[in-house]
Amino acid sequence: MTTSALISTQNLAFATPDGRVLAENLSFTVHPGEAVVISGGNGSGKSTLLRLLLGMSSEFTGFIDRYTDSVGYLPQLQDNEFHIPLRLRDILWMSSPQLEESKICQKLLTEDQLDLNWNQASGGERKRTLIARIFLQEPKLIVLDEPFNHLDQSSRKLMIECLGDYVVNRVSHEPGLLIVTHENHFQEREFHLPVREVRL
Amino acid sequence: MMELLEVYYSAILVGALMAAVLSILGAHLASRDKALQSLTISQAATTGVLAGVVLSGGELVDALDSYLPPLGALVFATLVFGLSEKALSLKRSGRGNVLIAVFTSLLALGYGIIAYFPQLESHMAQAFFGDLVTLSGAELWTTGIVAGFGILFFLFRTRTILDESFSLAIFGPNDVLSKSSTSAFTFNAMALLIISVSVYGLGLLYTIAALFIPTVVFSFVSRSNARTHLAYCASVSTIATIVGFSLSLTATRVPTVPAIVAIMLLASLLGAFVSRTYVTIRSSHCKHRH
Repeated sequence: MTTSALISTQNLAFATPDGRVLAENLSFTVHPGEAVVISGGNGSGKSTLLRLLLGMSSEFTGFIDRYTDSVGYLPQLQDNEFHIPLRLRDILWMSSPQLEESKICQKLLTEDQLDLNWNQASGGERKRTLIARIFLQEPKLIVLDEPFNHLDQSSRKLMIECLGDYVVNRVSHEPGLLIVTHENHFQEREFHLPVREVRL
Repeated sequence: MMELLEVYYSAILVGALMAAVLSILGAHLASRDKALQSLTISQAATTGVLAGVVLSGGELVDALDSYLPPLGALVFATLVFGLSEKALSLKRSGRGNVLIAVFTSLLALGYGIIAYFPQLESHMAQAFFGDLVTLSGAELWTTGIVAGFGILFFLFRTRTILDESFSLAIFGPNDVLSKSSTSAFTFNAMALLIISVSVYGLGLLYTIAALFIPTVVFSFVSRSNARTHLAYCASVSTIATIVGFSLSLTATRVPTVPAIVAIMLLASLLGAFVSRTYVTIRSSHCKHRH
């Protein structure tokens, strides 16, 4: 594992628009080759923290340092349809024509699933497509907001396995993961890489 | 009729080309949830044309050779786009509410200009309904060049534009990748240019119809793919322009643009029906074989 960071915060503090403090003195770093899990209950400020980290809001005190612009981000999905009919295969092709060579994508979606139309695909199939899309873009930092919502146990296990595989097997650079979730107790053996938890 | 087609063939060609570009642009605007905003911007362009005519002296004949009406269309469209994006980002009221308020204000402004300069009334009708038949000279060249440029833009940037439309539709305008993307700026700039020039040359009704009728009708045939959808939209709008224009030449009481719009709707419905029937027959044939 290299010592260079991907993103770090120091003495970060932020609040709701009506002044309720969500976090104070929050300091953590995401390094290449590790997963940082930000956990907390509903309304604890997880999504707000993500928006701050990604530069979508500047309502905070303290310091946020982003050391890379190569970020793959999966926000919480709103179950939106897409007006133009797109197969899942086409969605991945738009990110990279080298779809056929991607072993992780083959693990996430079968050939039959790839031929499904986005509007006909299930929530789990859509989520796997979007994760695969991120993998094809080869970012250095992957940020996921509640990625395991609405997934059954086997889909959850598959997604964690693929996220771990992506980090471990990337040859050109060592990526890192930043995951926001209300779930507790992620373990290193699930990801096959170092996991640190930041609790809000 | 053939003699008339020979006279008007350049207007038909430019109209058809612009219709194809508009229909592809409209599919992307619809997927980005910008249909109502496009209507508002088109109305702004219409008002801009009128303002341009006023600034070029207010005489109908002079205005046709002046750069001020198309420039007015582009300036007004860009201003309204910028202001509406800012208003929408504040999230004080619903998207539809804000845009309807802006649209109504622009409509009132347009009629206010007409009330003050009554000689512009026929120009208002032309700006709204368009007149493909009189498309000539500077109008013809401007519309043709922008349409040709638009075709090349969508042809060479299909993947990037489609990817961006998808990101915006699924993740919204806060997607961190699209926010920093210069391609989003390029798409918006092209859309404003195409809409402004189309409103100036072909009218508001023609512009809005070509933007949204084919893509909305074909969206009901959800089993096609993106390329087929965009190809259908471009084909239908092109054919409708040619057929509608030809019909209005042979039947003098048939107005050109409404005829084109009516044929666009009918052709879209027919194409959607045929496509859906084909897909249903093909899938039941596959099931039978298995």
